[in-house]
Amino acid sequence: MGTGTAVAPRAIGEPAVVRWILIVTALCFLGLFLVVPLAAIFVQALEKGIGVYLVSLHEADALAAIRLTLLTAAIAVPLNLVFGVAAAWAIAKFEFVGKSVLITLIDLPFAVSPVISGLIYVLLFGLQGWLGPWLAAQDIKIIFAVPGIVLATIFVTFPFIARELIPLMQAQGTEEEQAARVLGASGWQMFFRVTLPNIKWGLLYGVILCNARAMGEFGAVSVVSGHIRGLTNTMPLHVEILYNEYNFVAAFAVASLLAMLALVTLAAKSAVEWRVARQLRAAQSAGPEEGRKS
Amino acid sequence: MSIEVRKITKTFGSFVALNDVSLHVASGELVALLGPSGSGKTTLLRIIAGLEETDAGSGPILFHDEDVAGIDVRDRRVGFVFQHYALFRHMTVFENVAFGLRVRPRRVRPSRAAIREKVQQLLKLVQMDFMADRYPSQLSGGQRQRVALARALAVEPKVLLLDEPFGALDAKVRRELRRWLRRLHEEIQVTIVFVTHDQDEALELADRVVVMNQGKVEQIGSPDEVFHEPASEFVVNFLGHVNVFQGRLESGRLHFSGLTMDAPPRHGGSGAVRVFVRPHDWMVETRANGAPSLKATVCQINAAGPHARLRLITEYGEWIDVDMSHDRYHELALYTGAAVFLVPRDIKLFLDGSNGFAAYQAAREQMQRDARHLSPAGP
Amino acid sequence: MGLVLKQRSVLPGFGLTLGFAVLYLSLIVLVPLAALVIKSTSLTWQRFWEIVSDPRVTASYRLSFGASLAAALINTVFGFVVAWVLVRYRFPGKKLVDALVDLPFALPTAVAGIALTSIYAANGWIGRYLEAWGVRVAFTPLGVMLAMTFIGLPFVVRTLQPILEDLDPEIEQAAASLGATRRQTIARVILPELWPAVLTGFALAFARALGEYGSVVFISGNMPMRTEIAPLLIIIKLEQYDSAGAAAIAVVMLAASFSLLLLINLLQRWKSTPQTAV
Repeated sequence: MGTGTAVAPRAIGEPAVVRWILIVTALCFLGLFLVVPLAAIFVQALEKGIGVYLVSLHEADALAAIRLTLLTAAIAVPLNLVFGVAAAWAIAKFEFVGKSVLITLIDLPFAVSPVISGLIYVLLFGLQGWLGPWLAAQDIKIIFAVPGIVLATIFVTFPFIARELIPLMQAQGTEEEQAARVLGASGWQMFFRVTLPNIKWGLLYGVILCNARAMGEFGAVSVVSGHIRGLTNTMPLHVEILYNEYNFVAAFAVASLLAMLALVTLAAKSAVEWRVARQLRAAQSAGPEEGRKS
Repeated sequence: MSIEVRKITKTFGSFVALNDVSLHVASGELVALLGPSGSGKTTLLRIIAGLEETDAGSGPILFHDEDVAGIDVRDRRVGFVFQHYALFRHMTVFENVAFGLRVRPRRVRPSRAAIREKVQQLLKLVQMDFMADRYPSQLSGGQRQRVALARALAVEPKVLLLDEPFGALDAKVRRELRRWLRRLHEEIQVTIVFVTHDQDEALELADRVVVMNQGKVEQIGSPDEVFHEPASEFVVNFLGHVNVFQGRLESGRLHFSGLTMDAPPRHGGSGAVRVFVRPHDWMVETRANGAPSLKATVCQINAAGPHARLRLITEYGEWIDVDMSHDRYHELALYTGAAVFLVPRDIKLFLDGSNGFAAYQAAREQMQRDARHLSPAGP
Repeated sequence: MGLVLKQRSVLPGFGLTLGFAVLYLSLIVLVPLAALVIKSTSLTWQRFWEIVSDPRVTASYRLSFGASLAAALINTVFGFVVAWVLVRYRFPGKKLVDALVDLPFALPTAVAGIALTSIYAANGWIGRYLEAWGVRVAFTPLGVMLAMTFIGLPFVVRTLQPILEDLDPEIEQAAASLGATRRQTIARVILPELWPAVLTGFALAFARALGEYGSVVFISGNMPMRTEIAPLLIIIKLEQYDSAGAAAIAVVMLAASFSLLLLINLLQRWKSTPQTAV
């Protein structure tokens, strides 16, 4: 992205002074808003030395929060993956009425405030909610319990994989799948041998983004969690509790784990990004290179 | 393996792609479906393959007299070569060709060694054996085309169907591949049906040509038949450039553009007619020799190319295109502004109101739209 | 080229995949959202109005919309500069900077929240200098805006970048060859091409800021009437077991978000229609 763009010849580019002013402005803005906060996290996490840092991470509640965060992502990401593939398959490979409505609805969770994303489940499953009394009678806890956290996480990460796959699969068209069918492949053979290899990078990209959000979600989870230490605290929620208790070193220690996750995400994303772009370009220029009829 | 479709209709929404089409292809034959875009030729091919279903009420699709309409595409055992080849982009050439064998159920799947041998043999047949490890993106268009063919042949299809097989290649590669396909057909004796919009390709390659227009079959016949005995105005027009005149037929005599001559045999009726004369079917003289002829003036001369091409205008203001050999052109010593006398060597006539002209114009407009669509830089 | 027809496809799995997608969508998204709307209709119109026009609530709307708008504007200006620099110029570390732009997408909002708060608190790295100038950021509306700027930062950059990359340099060369100055070329040739993308990025950043919670609540201080954002009020209502009240505030927020979504869709359509074809 952005690389390989030739610098415009002088006649039509900006003067060097303007160029450097713009570059410095951009870098200062990004430095102030991105680099400084990132640095602050690690500096404060290590303020009292590496020993204190490690102890804060080894504490039982912190470990419980890490476990819950991993569990939540381990449920939410695969479910959204299956959904994303299924939705993209139906949308990209078939024509049907209401397709554009479906695409819009898939994007809906991105337009909803995280707090509202949590609220809707409270209204549905909470004690004052529709199903609350019935659930209470069955002794099933969803709100202020792990299922609620998982549901809210699924909601906020819902569109990531589908919206990554839909344009990619649309660009790839259906001819390769048709060819597989003509050659005698069954439905699953066609999917695993032809479709999946063609979309794997886009899929991975979606999974990376989905996972980052699933592990980092705060607002939605905060509403449904009930903040029970060691039980319904995810890592971001645990950060909040520690911070509000003025236990800054511990708060930033846990935060630093999440920040590392973010950095790994960015690195993986950049690594995958150009492969996705290549797959998409390949799909868009799928025809033979001679191209047009003579 | 023979193919027969009877009374097939296919609509997409309100668009009628095929309207009551019947066709019989004998075993081992090489047949071209020829027509402009939207004529239904590709749809017919896809229906034979099982990639599309016919509308309710259509007749059967018979392979060797057995109805295959209900048989799923993967069990029909047809070889299909897609217009843009549809090679699996993440597989090597070898893997592409092996695909059809590898996806077979375990009990009928050949051994790995057998697959390897078979694929290698096919790649040799299409002269691609030295490129087995390449990916499709590393191949030229003509090479992709041959891989697509090898892949289709790997499953030992009973019929081979090709959708615009050479459509996306440049003229030179196209000619080579045409010859090569013809040889291949002689070698493996499989029934082949291919779709094309290029009349030269159809006439050169096929045993029989099916000319299609607006979802209907206009004519089925050998290349000779469709070229020399076109069944409709559409066929005349589609098979190459032609001069058109309004004329009258009266008791066996034909009048057009100031010319009166005996009507060709089998044209006994009377009434308004359309007269078609191909550019190479004119005899050109600089002096009247007594025979009934048509007077015209030379407007443009283009002597570069295999023929000398002339554009003339008659005294009635009609344009006429004439092709002649360079020898003849030099013999006549023609120049812009020269007066000439034309006698048609061969003419086709169709009574006005007989099928075809409206269809021809519609198709011609469609082709012009396509041409614009295909070559944005073109006129 | 054959006519491109609607495929009545031979590919399998349509019923299964569409059925599953619609079912999952309904269970996860549509039914719960419907629950929200229905819950809010359990209120009478008058009660609904009382809740959403309560001074504390309107103050929170004012702050949410005002700060979001300001943040989106800041992001539009600087996002434009960043996108321009990333596409047009070469400088060391460009790839790294490009990757870093997505940090606000990847960094959990709570983490961003505590980091920003600690920097801009009166004794923080930056806060202490601002304090000397008499400017307070943490626990003021300014802080809210700052957090919203952080989380909305990538939107304008990422919507503009591909458009800038696709911009044919020949257009600019043509303008220059016709005697246009650089400034005229930018104003008359480049900017008109970019407008839809700029507006889309602005709307996306605005929408994101409007709903944002995690990064804001730490730096805002959550003082009633002053630094409470609307999503926080929803949580407060919930903690008071007033779920209908929470639903009412949420419905107003949703209406705003969906209007923005609609606007963004319209902008995208505008972008994809060539403006020459009238």
